[in-house]
Amino acid sequence: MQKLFFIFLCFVSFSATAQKDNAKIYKFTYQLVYQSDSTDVYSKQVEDMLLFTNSKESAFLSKNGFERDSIIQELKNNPELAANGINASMFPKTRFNYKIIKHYGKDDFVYYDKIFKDYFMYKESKKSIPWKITTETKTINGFKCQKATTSYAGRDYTAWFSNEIPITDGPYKFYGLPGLIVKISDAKEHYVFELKKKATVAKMPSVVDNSKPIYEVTRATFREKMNEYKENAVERISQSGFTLNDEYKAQVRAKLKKRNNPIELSN
Amino acid sequence: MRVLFCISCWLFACCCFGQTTISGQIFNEKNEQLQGATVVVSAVGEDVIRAYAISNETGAYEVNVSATLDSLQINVSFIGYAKQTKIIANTSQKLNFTLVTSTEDLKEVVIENAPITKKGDTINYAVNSFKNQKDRVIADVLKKLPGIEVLNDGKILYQGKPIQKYYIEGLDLLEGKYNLANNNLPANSVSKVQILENHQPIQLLDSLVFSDRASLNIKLKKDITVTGVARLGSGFSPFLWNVNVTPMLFSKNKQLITSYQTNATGKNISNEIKTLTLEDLLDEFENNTEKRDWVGIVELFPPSFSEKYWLDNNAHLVTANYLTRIEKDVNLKVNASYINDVQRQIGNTQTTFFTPTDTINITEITNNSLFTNALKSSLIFSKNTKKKYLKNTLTFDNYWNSQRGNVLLNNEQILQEAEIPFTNLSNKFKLLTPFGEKIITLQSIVTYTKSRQNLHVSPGQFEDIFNAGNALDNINQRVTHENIYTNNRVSFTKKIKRFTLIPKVGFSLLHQTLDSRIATFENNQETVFSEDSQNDLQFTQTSFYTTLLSQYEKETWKLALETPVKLLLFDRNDALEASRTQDLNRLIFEPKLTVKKDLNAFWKASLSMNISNDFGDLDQLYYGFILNNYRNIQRYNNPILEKVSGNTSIGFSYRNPVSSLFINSYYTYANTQQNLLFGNTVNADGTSKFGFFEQDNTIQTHSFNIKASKYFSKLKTNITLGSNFYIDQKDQFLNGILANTTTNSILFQGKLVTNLTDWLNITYENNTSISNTKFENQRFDTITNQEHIGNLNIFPSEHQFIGLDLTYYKNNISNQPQENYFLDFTYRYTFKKSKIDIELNCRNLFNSDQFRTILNNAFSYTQSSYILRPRQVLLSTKFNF
Repeated sequence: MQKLFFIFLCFVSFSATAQKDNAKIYKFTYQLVYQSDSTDVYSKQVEDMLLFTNSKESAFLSKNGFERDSIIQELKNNPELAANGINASMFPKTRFNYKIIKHYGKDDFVYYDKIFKDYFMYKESKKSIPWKITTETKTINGFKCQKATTSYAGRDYTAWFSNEIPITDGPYKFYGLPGLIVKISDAKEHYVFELKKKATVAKMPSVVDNSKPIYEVTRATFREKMNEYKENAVERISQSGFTLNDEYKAQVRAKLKKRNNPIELSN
Repeated sequence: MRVLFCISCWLFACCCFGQTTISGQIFNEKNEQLQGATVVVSAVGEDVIRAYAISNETGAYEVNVSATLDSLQINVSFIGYAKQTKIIANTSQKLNFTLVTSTEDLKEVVIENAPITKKGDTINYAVNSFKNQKDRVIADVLKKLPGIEVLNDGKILYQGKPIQKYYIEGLDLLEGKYNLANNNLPANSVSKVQILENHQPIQLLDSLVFSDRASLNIKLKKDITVTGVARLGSGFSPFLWNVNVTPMLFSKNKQLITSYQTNATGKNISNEIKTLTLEDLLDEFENNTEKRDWVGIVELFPPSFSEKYWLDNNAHLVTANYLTRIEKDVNLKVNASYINDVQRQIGNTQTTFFTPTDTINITEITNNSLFTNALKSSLIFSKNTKKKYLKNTLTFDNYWNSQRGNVLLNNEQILQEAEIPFTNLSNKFKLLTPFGEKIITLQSIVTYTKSRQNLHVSPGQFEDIFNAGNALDNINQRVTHENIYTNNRVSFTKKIKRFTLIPKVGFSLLHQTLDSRIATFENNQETVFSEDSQNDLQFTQTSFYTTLLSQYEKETWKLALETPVKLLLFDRNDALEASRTQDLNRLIFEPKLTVKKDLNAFWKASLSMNISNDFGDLDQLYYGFILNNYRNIQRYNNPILEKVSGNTSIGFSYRNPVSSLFINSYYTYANTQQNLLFGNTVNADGTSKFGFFEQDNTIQTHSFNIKASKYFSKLKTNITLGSNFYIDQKDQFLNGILANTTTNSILFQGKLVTNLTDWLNITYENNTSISNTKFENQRFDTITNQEHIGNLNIFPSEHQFIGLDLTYYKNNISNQPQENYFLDFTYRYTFKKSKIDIELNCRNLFNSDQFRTILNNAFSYTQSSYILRPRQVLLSTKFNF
């Protein structure tokens, strides 16, 4: 049995000292174009992803997920809104519930994700994504970029980073290059992240919901649980008290069958 | 060998190129160590980075450079600081940097590829640039638009989230049922698809309540579009059909969708226009517009499994939905449907009534015909502007239902004929309007229903009551029931710190009149029986209510307290006998407390307690007899029923997502005190009389539920096991004797689901229930019901589906098991390009001809059989036109 930790307190609070007077907090918006069904090029979907960084630590998460959490928080503070016709089905939805917290000076980054209704986290070493930089350069969205490559979880990636933004970060788990990754894509172009917007914000958002238990596991266990859920989604949904008719069950199965192309293919 | 090669390569690299190491620390002006700064090394005057490092927590860095260059350019940069450049000799060295703060901002992101045209919150997709020859309907094109996804069931998602409204030319004709349009509107007739981001359908809330949901709007090329869909199916034994033709029309200001459906295959057509959303169902309940049948023929108890095996029908449905835009933001919608259905029921029932003194047996051989003729219509006016949201729904329903039943009761032929018409006219009004800084919600409902029902039974029954024991040729019951109801309320929400308060104030009035008489006809001459068989009643319930819902939330605690106070006024007026008039005024308080607490990551606990009051309605308040059906006559010689229930429920749940184990359990106890005791008298011929007796009594029920499920990942199998125990204890009168009745039941459920491969999945489900009843000291036979269901679904390819369903039912009482087997087979083939489906469906392959079941309750046990639909084969196709 896995060793478990229950974390009721947010242990990833962004320390106040990190926010020195001159350290601006940036919000970079990446557009993610992904193909959810590897066999169907028409299954391409688009979602905006956000990278918040105070140049020491960063948080990467989906824009819709971030907005949903903000609305839920807002509703808790101001339930009048709920009475005026907001309900859960109106919340923005995302395919990507993960949140990635990186400390540039540390060797590990932390990955948070949700499987159905449960929250999990694991730590992963920066070294699991080793970069090779090449001499190829290109201008992307106004930035002079240099090409770097890596392989991670069954995909080969090409990243374009720019030292013009001297932040050693990027979308998803990718970081550690001498400049922000402006664009990164796997060889099949199933996952393409591209920087679209830059803005500054007043403070780092608290992205981890500390009111719910978080199970700390290893990456291997997390992937195993995720696969179990995919195989058994219909039953898991039933367990939570919903009654699904056969038609709906078939729909859920068909839907999951089409979502056959996660960003991480292997361990 | 390989190792050797690697070592030689490394040696070679070292000898020929060598490496220099530059290391040091990076500080700011205040001498603080900077972590995360980038150190990049390039050839002098070049941009290309040859080597790099990122400073660690102590600001230290180390960068290794190949030694081919004489000198190096080293750049250190960090957000918020000015970039520093040094040119150094290419030798290993220590080099510290002190960065100086800078206010210079980062360069702006310049987007080179323009997206699909976007204006404000509206995204426009030009359909022509996404469409190819294969695409026939708009759904085909939608699938290809980036960001838009169409699920198998037709649900449209924008950025993974269901769209909230599907407009055609800005009009919302179909509400949630947009499939009808989406799958049938030719792609050729559409010019643009628009996504309205952050769309708030209630305009008044637009600036107040942020909406993150998107809506979709279809822009048509032509002013008028006419299109449709058809499904045709036919089969045999006996001749079967299933037809659905749905033509439609769209124009800029008017939209129309009509449908004609008919079948004789056991598909209950009324489901097609049934209210499905929970919100609407609650509405219907609150409206007091439910159809109430005072009389009827004795129907057969339907089998507990799917109606496709037993529903013998011949049904037709016509429906039309029409929308017209009166002016901007003001719409008028008309929805109307008409159903004509004939259903037949054939079977027989043997009932044994146990009384403390005797056992009475009756046998009925039943042949029933049920005729449904129903018109349902509604007129919806909506005004949706920035200052006001107003929706008014006017509904008119009319039923002309009738029933005819032939029953052979212990070899005596009895004919029953019932007419059960029903009329409902109701109006529902909802207004949201700003009031100061708040938005106030006003709701008002007014309904009127009328029903004039008639039951004719020949030969006549209950001669002892009506004709001093002499045979009657026939007996006729007439009931006229009228109902006027109104409910009006106002509400808003207030938040104080961690408390949320939702006050609500309202007033409701329900006025009913009941007029009934029992008569016999002789040569078309009506003879009305004594006053005992007549009612002329008026019953008024008035309620003034106010309620406050207080919610409190903190960390792992959630509390909700509802504190409704109601003043209820009941007034019953009997025109036939002034002494039966009753006034009852009650001020009631019905608090409800719910507490939830997360004990730890695995365990959650909940507690709920409430007190509720119930009062008898008119259907338990008439003094004169009413013949409900040929063998049941009823009257209530009692005051208004008053019932106070205290309910307590405690629940625990355990969930461990890591080991995939989930357990849920709860226990409920209810204690009900009431002023009337239920009683029943069974006559020797099986006919019975129900009634209440004035006597305070208590009903106690206990129920315990537990359900556990676990997933076995190696077997790709989920197993769920559940159980339910239920006990109730109450007093009853049977044939004048007061008896204590205890009912016990235990239910076991098991379910196994396995998805062995992508193309095969198997489900097995079992439900077993065991129940018995104790009547004073007499224990009745235990009844065991078992149900086993197995499904095998095979997907040999993307176009094909094969399904096998096997069902086994067993009903066992007194060691007389009754068994039924069913096997269904389905094969479907989809022609992907032309979107035509062909389906072969074989139902009831074992040709089980009747379903036998046994039921029991406190004073009877019933064996019945129901004639099922014979084996049938149906071939059907679906296409668009």
